[in-house]
Amino acid sequence: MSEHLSRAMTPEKAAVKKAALLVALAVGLFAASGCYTNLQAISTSSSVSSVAAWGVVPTSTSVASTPPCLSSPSSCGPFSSSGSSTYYFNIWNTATVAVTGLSYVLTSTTNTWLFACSVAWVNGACWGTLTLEFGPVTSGTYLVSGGVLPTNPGAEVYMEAVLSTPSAINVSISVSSGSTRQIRAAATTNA
Amino acid sequence: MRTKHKLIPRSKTARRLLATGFAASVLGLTGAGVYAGLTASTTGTSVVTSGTLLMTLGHDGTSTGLPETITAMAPSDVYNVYPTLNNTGTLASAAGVTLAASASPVNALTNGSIPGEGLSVSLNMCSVAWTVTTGTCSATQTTLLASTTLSSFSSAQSLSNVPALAATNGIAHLQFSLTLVGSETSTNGTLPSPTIQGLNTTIT
Repeated sequence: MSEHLSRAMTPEKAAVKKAALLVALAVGLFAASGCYTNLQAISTSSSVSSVAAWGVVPTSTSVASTPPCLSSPSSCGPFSSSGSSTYYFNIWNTATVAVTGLSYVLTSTTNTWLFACSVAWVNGACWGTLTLEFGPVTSGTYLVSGGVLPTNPGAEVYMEAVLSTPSAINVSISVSSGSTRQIRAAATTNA
Repeated sequence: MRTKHKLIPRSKTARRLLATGFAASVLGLTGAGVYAGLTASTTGTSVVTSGTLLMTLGHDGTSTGLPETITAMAPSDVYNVYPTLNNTGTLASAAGVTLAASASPVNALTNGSIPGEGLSVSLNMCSVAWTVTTGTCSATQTTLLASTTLSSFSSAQSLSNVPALAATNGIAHLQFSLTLVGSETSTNGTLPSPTIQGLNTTIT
C-alpha cells in the first residue's frame, strides 16, 4: 500500500513542480517587466518668459510739444548739429522697462551745458521742472542718475544744449544694465 | 472416514481459491482507489494588481505655481513660484528625481548663444509649505538644484536631496526660481546685437 501511494504521488509532485515553475516564470516576467518599464512618473508644465528692452532715443531739434521722431527704433538719433550756440532736442524712452539713469557721450570741443526740462521749451524758457544734466564740460561720457529723466516707457524729456562758442556737437545717449545700471532695480517676485 | 478424508483436500483447494480471489479483489479495489487519487485536483486563484506611480503638480498657498507667465524681465530679476510635487500613485517614489526643460522658441534666452546671458533656473525645497508672500521657509530648506542656465538642460538635470515621496500623500514643497542674467547697453534706442532684450520663450 505504501509503495502504491508513493508511486501515486509522483504525478502530483510533478504537477506541483509545474505550478511552481509557472509561478516563478510569471513572477520573473512580472519583475522583468517592472524593470524594463522602470516606472517613471513625469509631470510637465510650462513657463512663458519675456524680457524687457531698455533704451532711449535722442531726437533732433524740437521745441514743439510733439517731437518729430517717434518711430522705434528712431531714425533720427543721435542728435548732431553745428553752427549754433544753443540746440534743442528730445529724449524719448523707447524701452519696455523703466530707466533710472542715462549715459551721455558728448563730442564737443567747447564748453557745453546740457539742461533737461520736463515740458517742451518755449522760446528758450522751461516752464516745467528744469535740471542741469552736466556742464560746463567738453568731450566725455557723463552718467546722469537723477533729475528730469524719461523714466517710464514712452516718456519724453526736452533738452537744451548750450555751447560757449558756436561749434559742432554730438550727443549720444545709452542705457546700460551692467555695472553702471541705468534701468530699474532688479526685482524679486513671489507669485 | 475415507470419504471424510477425501473431502479435506477439496476444502483446502476451495479455501485457496477463495483466498486468492479475495486477495485479487482487494488488490483490484486498492488499485482502483489509487487511480482515483491520481485524478484528484485542487485549484486556487491569485489576484494581482499593479501599483501606480503618479506625480502631479500643485502649489503652495496663494502661489500661481506652474505654469507661470513672466513679462518684461530685466537683468537680475528673480521670479519665484511655489509648486508642489505630489505623489498621487499607490507606489512610493524613489529618491531620484530629474528636472528636464525644453524651450520654444529656442533663442538667446535659452541656448547660451550669448556668453554670460540668459535665463537660469534654481530649485529649493521646504519641509513644510512655503510662505508665498515673503518667499520664506519656516522649517528646513534644502537646495535641490543650484542656479543652472537653461542652456544646460539639453539633458535632464539630476536633483539633489529629493526625498522619496510616500504613496498617495507624499508631497514636496518646491520653490522654482527663474532669473535673467544679462549685461547690455542700448545706445540711441538701438538694441545691441546679439541681444537678450525683447525676446520671449515658453519653457516646458
